[in-house]
Amino acid sequence: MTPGHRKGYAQTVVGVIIALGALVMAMPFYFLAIFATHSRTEIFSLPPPIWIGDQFWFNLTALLQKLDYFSSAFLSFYVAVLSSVLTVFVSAMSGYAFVYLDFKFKRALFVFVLSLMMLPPFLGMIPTFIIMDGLHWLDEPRALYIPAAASAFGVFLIRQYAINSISRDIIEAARMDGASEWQIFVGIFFPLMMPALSILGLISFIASWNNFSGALVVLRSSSHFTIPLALRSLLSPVNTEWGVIMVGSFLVTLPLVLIYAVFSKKIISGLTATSLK
Amino acid sequence: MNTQPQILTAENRATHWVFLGPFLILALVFIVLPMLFSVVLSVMVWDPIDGFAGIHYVSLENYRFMFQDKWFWVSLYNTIWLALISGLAQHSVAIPLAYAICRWLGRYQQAVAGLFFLPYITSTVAISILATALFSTDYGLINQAIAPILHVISGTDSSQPIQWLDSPQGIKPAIAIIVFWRFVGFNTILYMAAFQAIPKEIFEVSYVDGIGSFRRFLMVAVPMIFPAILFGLTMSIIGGLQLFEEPFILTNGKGGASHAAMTVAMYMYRTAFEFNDIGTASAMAWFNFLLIAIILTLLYAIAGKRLIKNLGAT
Amino acid sequence: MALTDRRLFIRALASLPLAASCLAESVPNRIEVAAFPAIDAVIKAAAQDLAPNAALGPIVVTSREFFDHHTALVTAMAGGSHIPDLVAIELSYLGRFMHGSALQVLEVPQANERIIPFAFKQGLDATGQLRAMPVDIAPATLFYRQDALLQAGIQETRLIASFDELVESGRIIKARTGRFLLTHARDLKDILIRTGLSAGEGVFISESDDVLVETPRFQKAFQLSLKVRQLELDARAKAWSSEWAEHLRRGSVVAHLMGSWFAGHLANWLAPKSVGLWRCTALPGGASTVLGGTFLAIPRGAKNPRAAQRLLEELTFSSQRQLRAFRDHQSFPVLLSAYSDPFFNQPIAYLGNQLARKIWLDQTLKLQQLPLHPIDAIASEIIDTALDDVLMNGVAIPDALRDAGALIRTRMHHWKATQRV
Repeated sequence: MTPGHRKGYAQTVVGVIIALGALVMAMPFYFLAIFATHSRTEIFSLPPPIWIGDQFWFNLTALLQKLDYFSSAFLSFYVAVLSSVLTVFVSAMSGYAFVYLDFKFKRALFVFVLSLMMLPPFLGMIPTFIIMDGLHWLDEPRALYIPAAASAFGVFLIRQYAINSISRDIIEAARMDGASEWQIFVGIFFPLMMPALSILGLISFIASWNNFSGALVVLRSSSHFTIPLALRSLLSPVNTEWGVIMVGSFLVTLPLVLIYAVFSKKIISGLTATSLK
Repeated sequence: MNTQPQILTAENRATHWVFLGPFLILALVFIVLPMLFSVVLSVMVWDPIDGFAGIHYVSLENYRFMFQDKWFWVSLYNTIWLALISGLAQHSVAIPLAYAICRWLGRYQQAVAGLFFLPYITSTVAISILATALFSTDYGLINQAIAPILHVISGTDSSQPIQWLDSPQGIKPAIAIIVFWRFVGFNTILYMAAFQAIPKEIFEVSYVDGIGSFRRFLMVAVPMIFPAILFGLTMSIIGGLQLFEEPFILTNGKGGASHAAMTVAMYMYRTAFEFNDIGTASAMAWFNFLLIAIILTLLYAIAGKRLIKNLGAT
Repeated sequence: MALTDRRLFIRALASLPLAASCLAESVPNRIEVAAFPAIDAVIKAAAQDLAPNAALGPIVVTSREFFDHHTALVTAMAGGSHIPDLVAIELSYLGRFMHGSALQVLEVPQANERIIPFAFKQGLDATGQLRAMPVDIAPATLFYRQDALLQAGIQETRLIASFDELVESGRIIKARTGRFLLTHARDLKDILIRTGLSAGEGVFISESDDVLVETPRFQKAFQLSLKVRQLELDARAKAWSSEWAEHLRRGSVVAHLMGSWFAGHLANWLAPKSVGLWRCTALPGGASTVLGGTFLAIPRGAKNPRAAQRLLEELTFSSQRQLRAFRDHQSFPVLLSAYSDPFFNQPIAYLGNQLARKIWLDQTLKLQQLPLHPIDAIASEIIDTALDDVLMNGVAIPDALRDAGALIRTRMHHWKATQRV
């Protein structure tokens, strides 16, 4: 066999393996959708269901009776939008400063930001609870979206992207023309950085939507629950309505999957562009 | 033009504070302050039932107790086991996978990568709930699917189904699988980015040299993405040592049979909110942080000089 | 006279705030109640028939799942905000809240004569003051499938002659019918460690702070549970999981040790089609123990304690409400005067027309008060993991109990070292 042949054979095998892998990645979503259409006894039966059942509307009605689903969904959406908008602005401003402004302690401050990225978020969980209690922010959405804006990862991402795409010359030229820093930021930096900013916004949105442990600590009453908390409240220690909780889980995941399906090419290419050389 | 020195006008002197300000203020209040608060709390005793009046100083009692507490060491073992196994699996699959996708999948690259990244964007709560059904001992799909394989391996007709969620031996692998599923795609994207950054010339040279595909991968490509591997490992270490949500949902917040699934983060949460011992919980948080810091320091001492050079360059 | 007028005027002004606050007090506030299933439904029902009574004001019940409820209570008290006026606390959590001044003292005259004594005593703190009022209790009961016993040729008398006989019967039943005896060996341990207590002994810790987990009571419990596992008499199903529910539904598990309220779960959703197949009986060997109970208390910092106390009294001292809770939710009453109601002599169709309520009443009258300790819940979990180690990790029983004892002592030591002097 010529080397070319061997390579082709190996490539096909690898391709098939990868395709199977991709299938395994996607299978849970399939089952989430399927289980959402079955009752609890059907889900836990031999053999388990692998095709669409007829309990979807029943489960959905029961879900809406047990939870104020739409208000939780709205709250999740509200928090996620504000999180991503604030994160984008705060990170953009900080990224801009690190790349295009010169100031004392710049390097030290950047190392500080980097080290914040390494901080385990869990460390502050209990003091966060205490601080939020002191601020009377418990049960308030702002307890979630305001701290979210302090994203060291966001600053890092913007900085890396900016260094690689917008040279200082452009900025300097604008300064020569007499523009103020703020004008440069709004007029030049922001528009040019749109790809990176959108990705950051999207990532922040997703992270906020899925946030469970953060919300667990600061949201206390069920009328103020975000979706993950509302979903978990369906997990009774005694008698979980599995069909209902499956439809709830499916509905939590669906919006993100849809958003992702639309934007996935952009996300993937955007993430792979901010490479670590 | 850009060699002209920047004129330090009054505006310039303060501008960076305006731009950095929001981030710094937020970070100080919501990240640094809690951290420091944690240190203070770790030498206090606070039973939350007593309200704020109940806080009082106990010097190192919480740490003394923590080091004597068998459950703490069990949770540490669980956490390290999960981080190691799931992390090793993630990266040893993600690296070759990323390479293969980059090199051989051509126009299907982004679609396939997209599918692999999909798990990362899901809610841990939703997935853990699904996993409770899929890993069910008697009715779960996973046991149904592997039953024939088990028959073959054990050689008998009636083999016991694997007790994934109800036995200490089963629950750790179950969680490791779920975490692997969630993050392998994320790491794959990371490595894809790194592989794509390798200049084509390097590969051309290796073709000329006549070395085989696999060796090219191992000896040429992998060393070139070293900074990305370091970054990926860092993220996995930080994330893995704080694993909370999946074990929490899968064991209903209790830690599983024989506490086999109780991670340090979960034990910390329980210590504070169930066992009413906020001081000890803070001590645990600090210990966990120091552990992460030490491991990362070791990692970077061994391998990091290159990375600092890469990241710090402006 | 102008000066006196002015003084009078100023005095009048000064008394305005006082008058205003008196006015505020007489305006009915709302009563905020925090509860979990099923006491939440009981309180809501009571709130409905108390609604016309304007003096109490609106009653708002917040309901959470069992674990979350108690965690939320702790968090509320930690921050001193969102504190409910009336709170339901399960017996297993009571020890944690009873120490210190977390719960307000309840001044309820004659409560000790109207409530069944042992339950009343559970609500007393170390100095004998009432801090939590029982509203229902759960006497432990053995439920079993009559048809399975018939099939295996075992008499009920043999089944409950002693715990050893129970396990032996289980062996025979497995051999002759293939069915399991219990859902999990742990259930047997839970009951056995609560029987045979000497005076002054709590389940895990004695009144003099001795750790009791290496006593014969625990050894016997562990040995018997291990025997059940070794003989493969338990279905290894986690309590309340789907597998567990299926076993009970199909009758592939023939016995279950649980509180009397379990009859309701069986009849309503676990095995509604198994009418007439289940029976209940006293515990083997004449043992009796309490497996839970709901207490009502007023936390420190409650805004409307007086109205909360009145609601508490309405729930506990009304024979009609106690019986209604019993009828609708199988919450066994604590009010002595309720025990003479003919309801107790009515047969229960689901249990094959047994006079089950009389059985439960007989059990209840034998119950003794258990000394509680703040670290009871942790000790219970330590023992559970010790049993897991014995059943699943092959650890020897003496080693497991010794380690458990050491761990509990470590926690006791820590708890004591962190108390305010």
